Amino acid sequence: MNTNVKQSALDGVVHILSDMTSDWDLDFAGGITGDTRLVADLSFESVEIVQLMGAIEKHFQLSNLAAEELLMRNDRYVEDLTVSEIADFVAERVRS
Amino acid sequence: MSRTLLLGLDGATFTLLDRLIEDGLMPFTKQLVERGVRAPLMSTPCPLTPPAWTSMMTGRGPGEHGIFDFTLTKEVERNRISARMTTARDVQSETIWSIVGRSGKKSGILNFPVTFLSRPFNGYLVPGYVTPRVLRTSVHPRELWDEISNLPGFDAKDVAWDMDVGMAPLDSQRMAAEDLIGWVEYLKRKDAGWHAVARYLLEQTPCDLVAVVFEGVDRLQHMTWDLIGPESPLPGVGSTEQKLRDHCYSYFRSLDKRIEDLCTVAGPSARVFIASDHGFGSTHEIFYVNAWLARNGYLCWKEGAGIDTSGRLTTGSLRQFYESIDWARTVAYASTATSNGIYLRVANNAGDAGLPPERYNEVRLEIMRRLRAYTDRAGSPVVTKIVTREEAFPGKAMDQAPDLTLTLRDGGFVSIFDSDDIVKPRPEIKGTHRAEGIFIANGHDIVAGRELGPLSILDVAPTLLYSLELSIPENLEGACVAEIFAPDYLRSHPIRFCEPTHDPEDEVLDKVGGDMDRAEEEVVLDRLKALGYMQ
Repeated sequence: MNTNVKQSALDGVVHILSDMTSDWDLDFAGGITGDTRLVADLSFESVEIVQLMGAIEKHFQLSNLAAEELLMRNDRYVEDLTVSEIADFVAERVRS
Repeated sequence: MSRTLLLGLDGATFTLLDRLIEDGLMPFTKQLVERGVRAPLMSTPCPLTPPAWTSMMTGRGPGEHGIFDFTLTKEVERNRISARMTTARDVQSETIWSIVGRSGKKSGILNFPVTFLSRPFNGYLVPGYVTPRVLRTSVHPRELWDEISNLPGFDAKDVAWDMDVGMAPLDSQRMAAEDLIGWVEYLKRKDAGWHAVARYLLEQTPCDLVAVVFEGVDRLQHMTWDLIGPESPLPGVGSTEQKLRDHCYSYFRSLDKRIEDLCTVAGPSARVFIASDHGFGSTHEIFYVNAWLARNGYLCWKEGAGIDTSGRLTTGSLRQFYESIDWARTVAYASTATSNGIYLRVANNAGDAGLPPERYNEVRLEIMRRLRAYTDRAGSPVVTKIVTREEAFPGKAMDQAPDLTLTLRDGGFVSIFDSDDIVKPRPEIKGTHRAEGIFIANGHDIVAGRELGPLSILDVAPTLLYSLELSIPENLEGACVAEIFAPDYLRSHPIRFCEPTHDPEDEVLDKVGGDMDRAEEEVVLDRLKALGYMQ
């Protein structure tokens, strides 16, 4: 995958998450990076993950992110997602 | 031009409001009705909040705007079903605030469902059904948050969507008395927050249209219909039921004062419209539609799926629920409790689960016939009406609609769970949706004391546009309710029509074309193409 696209996607997702969580009452220390986990670090609830995916679609002007593919692995819904996993998924969609 | 104020009362019904008015609990609303126009307002084919409010604010039916439920169910890949919350990006018809904005006028839109992730427009928007932590970044424009978040009475935790509280009305269990009293106070605080923002927009901004939804009526009626519904028996003097009922009534007193205050702030030259997305009535039983489909060979549960023993209709985790179905052996299912819809699966590719395409019509007719023939132990039919999506939802989005939409004999929602009995009595009567909502109009150049026959929810958008002295796009499905306006006003302001509404997707391209030179435009269009946004 093109490194620039991947980095742009990561920057975009970090930007959205930083903006979204800037006034959240979190114990999480340090800035959001690729290793940050949505649930474990940022306390995302399931409905907020859906709202995040919508915000990502809007930011990257993707008309159908099909985020369900990101949220499922081996026929089971994943327990958590890292920022890098989301960014890689977005980068794939932007390029396809 | 008269400013136009739309007060949305989610789930309001004259069957209750008339009694509250008669009992002196809503004196201002009484005046509005007596000095204005009232009519029943007929909802969308499935009288449900997201499709109904979206129809009210687009003037298009769900088959055109594409919103059929709180969630959008999709078969994301073979034998994998997923549902996600619908957002404004799923709305396939132009909204009234977009139309108003294109004319150079401003709107303030508050707490409407399916407005999260709305496209930019000329005005202000605070979406409904968004969680507290996401609300701040969801308002339009973003600077609005700084202005409203410190308003007296506004607390993001109260005004925003709480999943657990939101699901509570569908739960069969009645709250304990003290919890119910606290819950009514929570609904009042929620209304107070939206009231504060609406007031702010009326006082501090040049909005020509201000529209706000108060959702407490719906929530309260779901939970306490057995206490406050017109058919409920009078509780004994001094009883707990009477105290609870009085407390529920205090919600409506409080709502009446909010209506009065916003009408006063809007001023004597304003026009005020009150409308609900659907009406209300009682439900006394539960129909387990997926259990029926399973018994008739259309759906297969996975081993250990378990049956419902507590009168639940749905769950906060549809994902987990979908994992209880053996999708490889399922051809028809209800994905949610709220749309009362059955989806049929068609195997379009070799190896897919579902019906061969050539059997679709035959099996759909078979399900309709069997459901109509299904009776309870006393021999009474349970499903009183079944409509196909072609009948209920014609339009460009029809293929996303349920293949069948059911109306149950008690007007209730289906349960999606498995059950040992297909129909069970509820432990207690609850409130549920009905098709007949309310419409009230009052104000400048509105006639007084008139009662009209049933209107369509699709009539609201063209009527609001006319009130704003704008032309009505020719493709709106409803009609301006001309009878509510004074004859002299109608003569001097003839109803005008204009070109069809814009496709919401095209709005992006309109903006691209508006302020850019040709070279910049081509760069952006190339980028949109590269992103798959344009084909």
